[in-house]
Amino acid sequence: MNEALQIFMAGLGGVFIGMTLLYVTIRLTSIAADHLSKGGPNDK
Amino acid sequence: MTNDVMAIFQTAGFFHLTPGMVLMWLVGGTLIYLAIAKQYEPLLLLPIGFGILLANLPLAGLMTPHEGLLWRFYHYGIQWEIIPPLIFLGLGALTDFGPLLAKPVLIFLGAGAQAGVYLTFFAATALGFDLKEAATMGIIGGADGPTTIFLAAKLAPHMLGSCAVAAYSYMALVPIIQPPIMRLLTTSQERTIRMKKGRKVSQLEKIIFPIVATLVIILLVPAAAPLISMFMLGNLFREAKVVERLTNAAQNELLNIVTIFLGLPVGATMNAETFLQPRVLFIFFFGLFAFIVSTATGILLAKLMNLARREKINPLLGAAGVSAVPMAARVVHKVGSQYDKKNYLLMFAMGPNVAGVIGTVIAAGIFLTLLG
Repeated sequence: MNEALQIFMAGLGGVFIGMTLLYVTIRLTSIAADHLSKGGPNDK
Repeated sequence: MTNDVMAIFQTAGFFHLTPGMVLMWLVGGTLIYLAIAKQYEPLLLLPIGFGILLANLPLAGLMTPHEGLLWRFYHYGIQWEIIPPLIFLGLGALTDFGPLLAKPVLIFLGAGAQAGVYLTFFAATALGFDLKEAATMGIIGGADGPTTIFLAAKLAPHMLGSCAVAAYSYMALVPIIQPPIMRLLTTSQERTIRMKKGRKVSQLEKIIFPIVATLVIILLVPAAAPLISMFMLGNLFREAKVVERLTNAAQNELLNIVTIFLGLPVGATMNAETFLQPRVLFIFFFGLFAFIVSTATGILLAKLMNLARREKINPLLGAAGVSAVPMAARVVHKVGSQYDKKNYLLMFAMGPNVAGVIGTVIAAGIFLTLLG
């Protein structure tokens, strides 16, 4: 049961960590895409 | 002459039939009936049902290791991890991440629904199933057929057929299973919450996302690589808009072909000896339990998030966190529109719905890492 509990915690924690990383990825992607579509900081 | 006649009789299957085989014909026949007459997941249940019939024909040897036709499909297609990732390639080419990218906070609902997977895993372990079997039953709650098959083939091949049938059956029953849970866990006021329109998503974002998401997920859970890499490649085909032939092939011909070669051998794993066991009832019970708990935890997480958010989330969206794309999203929209006809939840529900696919793959990858 101890092992099951550890897997339960690690698994659920892992899923939330993965989704949090993806959330951050999406946020950064939107910033990067926005930046690229404007042609970068030096474009006038 | 008499000996020849006897020899023919001895090689005829009729005289080698067992009651268990005939019972399995009934099981296969029921799935074929449900697929044709009720249109319950017909693309999968029809070949699975036929596969069950074929696997329970005496002396046909279709599942004889190294010789049988269906065994080759099973061994090279499923055990070699080829068919589920190819299904994911097609699914990726069909998936639009736009709704998720427009409202990224909804990604957490796809994670919340995975709680059902792990709670079921824990409950099954408590009832005496070994860890690998418990994990295989738990993943049914993710409502993702190819992922269930992928994990079962690795961790508990003897349960593969039953788990696949349970997963696809419950996916077909989403419109029946989910609405009562959604009504039970939400107030009528919560059901009428209208979501604010998400931000505009550029095409560039849609192209970058599958690439970066692949890197992030595989770096975190390498065991998820076969499924997630193909899923994101299919999506990149779609969003790049420069390989329409490949996109069309992945969405149509490839997906259709591999669906045939997935369903048939999965059904063929269900012979009388492995299927007619009391534990199969537990698989169906735990599968349903996982599905119900996943739906509930998705909704409850949405409610929890609302405690800390100014812009409220309609908690019905949490139910779409189970994969079952797009059925679960449609059910969310339907239930929401029963309380407010002008509340269009479908596009919002697609966000947690595709997040649920990713979440289930990550959950399966973690099980593989820890138990494989």
